[in-house]
Amino acid sequence: MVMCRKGKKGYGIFLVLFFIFPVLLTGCWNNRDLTEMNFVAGMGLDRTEEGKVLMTVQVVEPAAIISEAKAQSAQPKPVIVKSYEGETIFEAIRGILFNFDKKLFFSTAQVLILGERLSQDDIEKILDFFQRDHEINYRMDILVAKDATPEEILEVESDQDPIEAMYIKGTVENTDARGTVKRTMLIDLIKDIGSSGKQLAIGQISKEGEKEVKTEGLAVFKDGKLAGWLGPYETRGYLLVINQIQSAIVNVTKDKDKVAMEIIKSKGRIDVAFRNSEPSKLIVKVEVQANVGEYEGRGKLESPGNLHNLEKILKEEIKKEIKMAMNKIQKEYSSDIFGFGEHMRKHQPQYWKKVKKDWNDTFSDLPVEIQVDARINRIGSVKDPVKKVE
Amino acid sequence: MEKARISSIQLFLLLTGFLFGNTLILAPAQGAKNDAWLAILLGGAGGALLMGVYAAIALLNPSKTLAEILKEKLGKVGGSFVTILDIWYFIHLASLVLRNFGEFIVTMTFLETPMAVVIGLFAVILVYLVNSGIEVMGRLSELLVPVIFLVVFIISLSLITVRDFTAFFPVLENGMKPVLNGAFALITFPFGESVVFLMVFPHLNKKERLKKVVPASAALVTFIILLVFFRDIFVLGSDLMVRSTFIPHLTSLLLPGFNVEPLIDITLMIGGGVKCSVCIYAAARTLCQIAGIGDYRKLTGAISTFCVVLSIWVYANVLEMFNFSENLWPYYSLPFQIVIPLLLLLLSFRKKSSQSNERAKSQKGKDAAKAY
Amino acid sequence: MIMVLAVFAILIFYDVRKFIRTKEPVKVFAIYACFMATSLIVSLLLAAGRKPPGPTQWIEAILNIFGVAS
Repeated sequence: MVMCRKGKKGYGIFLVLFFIFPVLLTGCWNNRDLTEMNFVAGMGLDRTEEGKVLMTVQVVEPAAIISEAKAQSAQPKPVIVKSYEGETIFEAIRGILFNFDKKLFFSTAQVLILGERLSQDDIEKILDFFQRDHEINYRMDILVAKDATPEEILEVESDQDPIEAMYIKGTVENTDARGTVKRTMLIDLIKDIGSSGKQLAIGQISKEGEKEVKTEGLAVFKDGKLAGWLGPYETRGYLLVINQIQSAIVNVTKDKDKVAMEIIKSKGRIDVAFRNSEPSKLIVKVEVQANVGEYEGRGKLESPGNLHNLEKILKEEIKKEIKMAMNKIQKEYSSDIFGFGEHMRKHQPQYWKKVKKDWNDTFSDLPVEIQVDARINRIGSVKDPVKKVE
Repeated sequence: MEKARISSIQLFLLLTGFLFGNTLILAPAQGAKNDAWLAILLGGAGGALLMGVYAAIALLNPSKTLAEILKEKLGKVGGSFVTILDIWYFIHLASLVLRNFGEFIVTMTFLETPMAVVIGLFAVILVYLVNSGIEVMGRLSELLVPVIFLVVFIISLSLITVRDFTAFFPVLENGMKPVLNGAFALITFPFGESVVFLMVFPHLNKKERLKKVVPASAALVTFIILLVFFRDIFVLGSDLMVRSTFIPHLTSLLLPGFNVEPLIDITLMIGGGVKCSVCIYAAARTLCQIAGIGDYRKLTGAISTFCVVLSIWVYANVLEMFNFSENLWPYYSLPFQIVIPLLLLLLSFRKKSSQSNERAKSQKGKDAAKAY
Repeated sequence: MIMVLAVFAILIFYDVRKFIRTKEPVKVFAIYACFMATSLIVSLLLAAGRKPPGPTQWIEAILNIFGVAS
């Protein structure tokens, strides 16, 4: 190439390179155009009764979405849902092409729905494909389907979003305003599987009629197997402890008046106390800041004393919710989904080595101390609720 | 001797780019798991010391390249023998870097492209660069190496939202041994590899600047490796970090919103390119000096071809590559990186002091050496 | 196989023509031939799917003699 400057011969080489490089620089060897791909929006994974893997994909049909917006005529459906059985996930994914014309592209997948039967098996092992494959998005949301197969969930045709997986993702994302479902991304799950002192907990999804789904609650796992479910309020208690609540509405009762408190900030911490080098107590510390969002009744809110009173009630309410979650997890499922063990492993490794063998049993027997600190910042546009002037 | 001159800032960036090279891809201190930050600090300090040795050699033998120093200190036969070993070492190093690069691209970016094509095309550019001379390499690194820092900082900052700051606990879970192993691995890779720069140091326009350039470069690289380690462990957690084939790639996948994977490829291309071209340059120069050929450019093509073939030849698969760079490379490098340079340093000192006894002067050079 | 031969043919043709034009001494040709021949043989073997034991194996063997490699 230095020769380029040396007259005619150099010019020839220059020309050859000039024509070769554009060919090489266009991209990768296995270049695929957008029109030659099927975009996967959602995936479902379940076990069949024979122990095989049942892979479901939801594929987007871009043409249908565009035409739907233009005219409400009879158009093909915007998404196609197909399933295929295989011994391994990868085999099923390739096998599914039996009635797709183009190859599937997985980086666009937004959700992965795990079936109940699969969850009762061992999900820790089965997720390897999703870590190893280069096309998988590590920020994909994972949910466990309750009372429905992943296929049924993905086949729901929502009116809200033509692509159902996007609709599901939306309902999971808005948990930051309600805090009743745990948002679990693939990367979080992989991290939790790898840590010895923490059990898995994944958000729950179920079918709500023909056109909607419901993402509420939590699937609790023990050693990779589904141990049971938590309801929305217990889930919220759990999320408060693991510091995953951004905002939520907590109802409290004050002198028979119903007050809705909006949690705007929350910080949860866990700790383990020791006595005689044995873990003696689990400590949960939660600090919340809340606003008064709604006051249904005839009470008074004017004085600061009233507000402090309200703070106390809120504290008790939150404590109750956490206790409910703790109780169920410790006594019924005996699975450390909070990560007390992980906390010990990090900060008191010398003790952790002693107790890690049957930590789940130790965990369920330990007493819990719940410390809640609540502060109310704002009361909104009016002070007292409306009353007839006397 | 080539009359080319590079400025101290160019040398600094060339050296930093070289040290950065493929280090982050192979993560040499990874064996220490979540204590790797300790290993990095120790290894960085050790590496800086080792690089100080190289700088001291260069300062004690001003304007002489490695081949000339070896010939002078070890005699014609011994010197030639060691020089040939060194040439082999440089070529081997270049081909390992090429292989790293190829393996990364083939595993992560271009999955179905044959590796020989990736490496071959990369090598074509490198030959062009090496043939342009050390001055162009210096100027190019001035232009490109800052991009590496930029990319590292951009990715680290954008990942500040997805992290777990306690991920590197507990400290010293498995005792000191893995930490020391990791530190040793880090000294030999990347710091010790800068022994190649004994062929480049003579081109520096102001010799005394070497005392500043070398430690500054070692410190900067240690800092970046540390930063990247903390970023990766905060984002991935120690388990996934240890299990992943190419850590930075996985980290870049986690960036919310947009895809920065190509940026990782770019840093590797710049770092690997600098490293590889310096190695090929050094091998070609050394070979020409020992064979008495004037212009090293005549042999770069042959050496690069050999490097490409060797890079395909050395490993059967990616796991062999990791095994070699973790378990064998540190010991294999020992003679080239530590034994020979220390020997040269000793011989240079002896000569210097005997000279100063005779003439009772030239104190300056000795002081310079003492600074290390 | 044919691709390998073609690539090498181009490389050698390009370089050697340059050498002849500038009338290089024999040692340049010797060193050049040495490198290119090794590369050609190894890459032909690789292309034929018969990987000869490479430097990694030699180094491993040598280190095993000293007993440092685990």
